[in-house]
Parts: sequence; C-alpha cells; structure tokens
Amino acid sequence: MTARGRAILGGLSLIVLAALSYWSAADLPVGSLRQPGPGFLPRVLAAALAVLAALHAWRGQVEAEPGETQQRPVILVLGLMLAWGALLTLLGFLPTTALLLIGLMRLVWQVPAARAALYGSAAALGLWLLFVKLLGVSLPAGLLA
Amino acid sequence: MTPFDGLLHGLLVAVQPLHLGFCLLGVLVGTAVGVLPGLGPAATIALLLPATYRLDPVAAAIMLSGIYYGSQYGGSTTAILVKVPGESSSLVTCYDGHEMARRGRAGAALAIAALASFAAGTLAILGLGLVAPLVGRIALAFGPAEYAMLMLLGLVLVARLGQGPVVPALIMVVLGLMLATVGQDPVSGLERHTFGIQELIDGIDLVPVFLGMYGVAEVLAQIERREPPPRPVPTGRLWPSREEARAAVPAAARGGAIGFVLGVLPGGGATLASIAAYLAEKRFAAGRDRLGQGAVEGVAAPEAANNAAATSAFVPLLTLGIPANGVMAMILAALTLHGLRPGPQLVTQQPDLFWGVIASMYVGNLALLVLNLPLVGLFVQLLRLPYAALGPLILVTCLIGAFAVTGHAGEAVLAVAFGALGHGLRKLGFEPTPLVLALVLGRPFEEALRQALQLARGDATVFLTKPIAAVLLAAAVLALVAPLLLKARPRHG
Repeated sequence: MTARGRAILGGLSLIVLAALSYWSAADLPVGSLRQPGPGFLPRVLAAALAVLAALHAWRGQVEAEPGETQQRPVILVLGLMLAWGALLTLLGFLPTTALLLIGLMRLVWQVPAARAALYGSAAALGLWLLFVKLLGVSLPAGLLA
Repeated sequence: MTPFDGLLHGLLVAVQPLHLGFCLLGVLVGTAVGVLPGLGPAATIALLLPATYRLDPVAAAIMLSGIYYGSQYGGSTTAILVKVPGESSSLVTCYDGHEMARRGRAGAALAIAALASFAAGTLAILGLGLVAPLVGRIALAFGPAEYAMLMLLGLVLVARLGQGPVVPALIMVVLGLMLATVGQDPVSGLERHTFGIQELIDGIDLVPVFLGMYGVAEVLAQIERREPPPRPVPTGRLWPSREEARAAVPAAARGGAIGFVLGVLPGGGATLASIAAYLAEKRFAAGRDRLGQGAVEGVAAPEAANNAAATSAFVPLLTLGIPANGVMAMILAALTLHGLRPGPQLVTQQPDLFWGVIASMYVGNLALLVLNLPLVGLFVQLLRLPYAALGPLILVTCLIGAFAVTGHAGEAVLAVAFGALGHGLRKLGFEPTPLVLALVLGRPFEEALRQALQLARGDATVFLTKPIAAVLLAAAVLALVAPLLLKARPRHG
C-alpha cells in the first residue's frame, strides 16, 4: 500500500468510528451551557474526530516501516493470549500459563519442542512463585485447587 | 518548609533502608531495560504496577522514578557500543557515541555519557526542588476554569511536541478523551459508550491500556521485524582525556539547561530534549564541524539533556497532577491507586512523598554513576538474552498485571485488545502516547470544564475573563496555529 493509501484507510476507518460514537451518544442529554449534560463532550469529541480524520485522509502521508514484516506470528500471539484469558479460571494459573509460554516459544519463536516444554513449565512455576507467593497476587488455582 | 529543609527532610526519607533498597532496585532495573532495545521504561513500569499495589506509596514512587531516570543511563550504553538506541532518547547519541567507540574511545564515550548524565541529573534535581514548590504555590489559586485550560494546553502540547505530524497526534488525543468518557457519567449517573457491558460501567482501567499499548504492542512490533541480535564493540579504557573533558563540560551545561526546560512541557520529554540539545551543539559547539564524526559534544549534550528532562518532567506531575509523558502518566496511576492525588497540596500534605522522591533521585543518580561504569560489561551481556525468552515473559507478565487489577479475565482481554489496537495504530502512523495521556486526563478535564461552566452560570466567556485561564487558552491556541502561520509566510533568500 502507498503512503497515501495508508492515510486514506486510517482516515476513513476513523470517520466510521466517529459516526459510531456519535450514534452511541445520541440518546444522552446535551444539557445547556449552564448545566452541561453527559452527552455534551461525547458529541463534541465525535465531531472533532470526524474533522481531524477527514483532514488526515485528505492530506496525510503514512510511510511504511522499512524492512520485511510478517503478519502470521502477530495473529498467533494475539490468539494465544486470548486463549489464556478464556481458560484461566477454568484450568487455573499454572497449567494455562505453562501452555501459553510453550505455545509462544514453539509456534512464534520456533524453539525446539522439548526445550520449549522445559523452559515454559519452569518459567510458569517461577512466575507463580513470584506473583502468588512473593507479591501476594491472587490468581485462580483451577484444576490444582 | 524551605527547599533546603525539604531536601534535607527528603534525604532522611530516602536513606531509610526500605526506600534505599527500592531506589537501588529501581535504577538497576531501569539501567537493564535501558540497555535492552524493545523494552522501554514505560512498558517496564506498566509491568511492575501490580507489584506496587501492596507497597508503601513512597517506596513505590521512588522505585518507579528510578526506573525512568535509570533507563536514560542504560539507553546510552547500547547507543555507544552497538549503535542501537536502547531508548528513543538516546537516538542522537548513536551518531557520535558509536563513532567514538569505533575509534577505540568507547570507554571514554561511556564515561562522558555517565558523567554528563550525573551532572545534569543532579543539577536538575536542585532545579526541581526550587521550581516545584513555586509552581505548586501558584497552582493553589487555580479553580476549575484554570485547570480545564491548563489540561487543554497540556493536550495540545503533547500533540505538537510529540513525534511525527500533528494531525495524527491530535486524532490520538481525541480518541483518548473518547475512551475516558466510557462508563458512568459522574454527574448524571447515565452510562456512556458501555454497550450494555457490565465491566465497562466503572470506565476503562488504565493499567490494561498501558500494558497493551506499551507492553504487548512493543513485543508485536519486535516479532514482526525479526531483527538479528546486535553485536557490541569492546569497551577499552574508561577515562576521557583532558581535551575530551574540556569539550564535554560546556556541552553538558547547554544540554542540561535545554533538557530541563523541555522536560517540563507535556509531550516534550527526554527524546525531544536530546534532539534539541544535539541541534544546539551543531550551532554553538566549538567543535561543531566534527559533530557526527565522533565529537565529544555529541555525546555529552544529548545525554545531559535527556537526564535533565527525565527529572524536570516531575515538576508538572508533582505540582499540577499533569503527567508530561507516558511514564509520568503511569506514576500518576500508581499514586492514584494508593489514594494519593498529586497536585498543589502535595508539597504541604505529603512532604515525605514529595521530598522523599526528589531526594531519592540524588541517591539514585549517585548509585548509577558508581554502578554504571564498572558494571557496563555486565549490562552489555544482557544483549545476549534471546528474545525467544524475553518476549513470552513480557507477554505473560502483561496478562498477569492486567488480570491483577480487578481479578477478572476481562481485564486481560482488554490488554490484548489494546495491544492489537496499539500495534495497528502504529502501523497506520499513530503514536500511542497522546492517547494514553488524554485517557488519563480525560475525566478530570471534563469535570473541570463542566464545573467551570456551572460556576459561571453558563457563561462560556469565563475562560477568557479569568486572566490565568485566558493566558493558558491563548497559549494552547498559539501552540496549535503558530507553526501553520510560520509555514504559510513566504520565505525570503
């Protein structure tokens, strides 16, 4: 994509966001200057965003970062992290975290499977000792309860 | 309390074993993250926020500040030895610092960077001790109208002085303010932008946003680029020669002064300060012709500037409750979690915190100078740490930190969402810091705005008739339009 294309894409998505946020605040009372209501600032902000986004789409230039980039590992990381959030209460901190670490090392950083399993489990245990035992953060025990 | 008594009182607070320990821990961690490219002080402080929940607030503030100014020391080490800035504020140090290293003067460059940082840092602490109480006294006269305009000026400056063009930065400010309106309206009790999601009624927590925008997004950027690990140049002899020292002193003085002033401004901060100091050297240094070819001035000035700026950034935070950059926003969040509200009353109501943190910077800077030079070899070893180990640990710690805020998995999901958002926005040319600052200032800004209008019985000219508010508003408008007017004027010659 060209530098102009990226600016237009960014600007147009933000105009959609501005419209959505205006609609989401449409039911809130604006109030008066004497007593500004909860809908006052959201509307002003939605309008400001629309104007700025239009300006960006019209005149902006967004240069790409130099070098090759890869999308697959980024999506993989986000998916694995979301899975952690979904499984945490069910399985408990230790197994979920060990699985996430092993998954990240193996799939994203291509660490050999045996080494990933070893380091991942050890690191999960270390984090549990640090946060639960030392810092007193309460994390779900799940299966190990 | 005079500033002198205050600093003395602060020193007694800072040398208590607990505080001293956390100060040392802070500067060591700071140096380490400063050395590591791809892990900055903002992400580190976000990662450590959950660890400070149970800590005494003074100890927490001392440690978090130590991480910030410690990272300024560490950033120069990688810039000089590897030509990779550990922090963006050491970017310009790469040019002359690495050139010196290639000519076998790496040790001298490191020593000059550390000494210039120390001199500028400690003088800036004195400045902070003198200026902050004065600003605090002026700010006592501020009402809602003045505060609203002060925050407006801050938000405009963040967009104007930050990295990159102004329109994307302003867009991020508006997005941040919009995110701040999510949740229950404090006045009417009506829900705004919650889309019926229970967890959003109390608003968006800051910690998952910090962790996502600075922690997760940073790791995603690293994964996408896959850079080969950097190779450091050997250090060699540490002490600068007499000529090198003679050139460094005035450069450090100029850099320190520039850094102190720019550090106070929102959006200014250490990066802008170091670049401005380098540009000043190009104009005023005796050895300006050799700049870029391993000139001592090119190391001393930016390193003095970024350290002075890292210190003076505490002036608006401690006296007005307004963070000048992302790191300050997080220290503000940490203090707020402990029920402390930085502002003009902080000097008189929390002298232990106010003077203790300032005095701890003296102690921390001294420790950095003593530790940094002998341990430089050890810190450089950190560059061998494979990202395959560091990356997963940063990601998991972000998840734990977000989860620990309320104990709901939803907060961890929020951190992932903001990580994806931050990554996507950066690719489309939007920097995260204006958004984060606007999110922090959004609620107090709206409250001040609405209160000011109510007190004035709906008379919107209140922002023009109150002198301080009018000056602040004029400054905000000027900061926004002045560069446009200058550009529009036809050039001569």
